Amino acid sequence: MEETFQKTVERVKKLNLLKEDDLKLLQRVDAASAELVNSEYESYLERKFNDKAIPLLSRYKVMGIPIDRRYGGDGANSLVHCLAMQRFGQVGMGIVTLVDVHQFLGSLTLQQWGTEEQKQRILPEAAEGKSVLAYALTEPEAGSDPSSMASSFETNDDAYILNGSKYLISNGSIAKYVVVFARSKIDGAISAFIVDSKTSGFEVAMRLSEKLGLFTSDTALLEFHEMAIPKDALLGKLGKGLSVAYSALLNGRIGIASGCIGVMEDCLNSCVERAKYRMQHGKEIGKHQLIQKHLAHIATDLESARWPVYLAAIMKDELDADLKNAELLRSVDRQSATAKLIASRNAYDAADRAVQIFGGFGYSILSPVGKHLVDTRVARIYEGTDEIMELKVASSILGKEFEAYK
Amino acid sequence: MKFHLAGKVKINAPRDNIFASLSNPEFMATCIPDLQSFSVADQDHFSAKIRVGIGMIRGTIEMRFSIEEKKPISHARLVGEGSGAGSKMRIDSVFDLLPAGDSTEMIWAADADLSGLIAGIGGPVLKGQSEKQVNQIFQNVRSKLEN
Ligand SMILES: Cc1cc2nc3c(=O)[nH]c(=O)nc-3n(C[C@H](O)[C@H](O)[C@H](O)COP(=O)(O)OP(=O)(O)OC[C@H]3O[C@@H](n4cnc5c(N)ncnc54)[C@H](O)[C@@H]3O)c2cc1C
Repeated sequence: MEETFQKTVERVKKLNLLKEDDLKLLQRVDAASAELVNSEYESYLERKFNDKAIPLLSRYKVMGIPIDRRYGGDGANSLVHCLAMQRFGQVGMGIVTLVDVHQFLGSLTLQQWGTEEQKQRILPEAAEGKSVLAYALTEPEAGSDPSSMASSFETNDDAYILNGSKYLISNGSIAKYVVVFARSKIDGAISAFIVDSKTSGFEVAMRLSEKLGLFTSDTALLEFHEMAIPKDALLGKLGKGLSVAYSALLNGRIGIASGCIGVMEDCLNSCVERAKYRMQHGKEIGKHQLIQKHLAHIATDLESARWPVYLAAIMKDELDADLKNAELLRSVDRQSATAKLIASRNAYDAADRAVQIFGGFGYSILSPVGKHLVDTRVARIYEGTDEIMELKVASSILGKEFEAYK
Repeated sequence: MKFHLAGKVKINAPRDNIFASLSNPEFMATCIPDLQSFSVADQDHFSAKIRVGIGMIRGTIEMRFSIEEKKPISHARLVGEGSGAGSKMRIDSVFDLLPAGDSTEMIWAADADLSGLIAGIGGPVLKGQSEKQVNQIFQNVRSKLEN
């Protein structure tokens, strides 16, 4: 699809289209983020999940940002959602992960693929923050290639019986509902299900706390043992689970990329503050040219990622109004991968330079930038690794027959 | 590293009573959280040893306070300076007391200037942690002055 100048101008024009309600929502996001800083910091130092985050986000009514107003959410478009995630990113990737999985991978997926009954049952609770959602695709033996998953289901008269395990699942041990993918024992086709975590046979086998960072985010290993779920738990069409999975990731990547913009903003703010008061060799370190070079890199990292991310969000809004447009879908998918690839790499580079500017104190999770360095690393892995994003972008340019990851 | 905090708080007590308490070092000492020791030099000067603990930055900060610009019963300035736990800090705060029916509205502002280890934690977290401390102080003030 040709990217004309007119289209770009149209998209830039849309940047001014923040409605009154959007501005109010973004004010709530801002206030929630400012209040979150304390508990995130304290939990991080204790290397534990921040159990104050969900009550706080619920109090500010920001758990249902993209959920349609009919189901009690804000019905925000992708651009507004992206700005909200950017603000959460200033607090850190722990909050970004929690919100991204709950809202992009969970709620939006249900909103796009769920039946009216599923939506009415689950989305209002999700919007209020009474229930948290998770997304379980990865397995111990299947990560970048989910089509090789081993989790399976069988069908009887009134239920699907699931067996298998899901690894590295964010919100896994706190979620009430989990989007789960499994393959049919009959024909091998993969389907998606929305599973109540209270179902017998659903087990949180391990809380994965030995991570490099991201301590305030919950990560779990889930196991399903002869887990019988009702027939109405099917999400989307039988055998079309990978379409559900990939559409969720298209959304989620925009969320993660937006969070990375916030990380870079926080790195820049923290470094500017530090560079102006930290004195070495008789002057503020900000007056040393090599420190200025790092600052300039962080600022350009930030700005070179900002537009690809906003563009992905604006294009996603276009897609939402034209869901059947396959060409647009491919184009948005590429832009979402591009945005995540650029933003997560730039954020990691920015955090690394920020640690350098902070010096020894930066090499500590007490500093804002030390935490960003370890936490941002994961953005280059989850929801599609750097390599998979590169292959995706390349094959989208070359054509489907060049898909190298198949 | 500098940051500014400001706020308003309503205290259900008469202005003269609040002013007398807040400009009394003995009273203030009872409201500071994690206070270890305290000594009064004269009616406008006192010092306090306060325990701090943010992650590995743990220790005692010795602060010297002076009460300045006293305008009974409406205004005063409290300046504190000290060091400890690898850090230095200076806090310059003012408050104004306005009548609000039977109670009093206190409008306050504080400028903090920090250096050393604690400064590295950065503005957003330090602001949040300081707000928590300030709220605790006001909660203590209110619980002592309100009936
Ligand atoms: C903290 C955290 C939270 C997570 N949360 C979730 C979640 O909520 N839900 C969920 O389902 N998953 C989640 N994940 C899993 C994550 O999505 C996977 O880790 C990721 O997709 C990569 O899969 P893998 O770890 O199995 O790596 P692998 O797929 O084994 O990849 C290993 C390496 O090989 C490369 N590679 C693989 N295939 C190719 C290829 N064809 N060409 C070139 N290089 C290739 C990869 O890029 C990578 O560098 C989370 C992961 C982490 C760390």
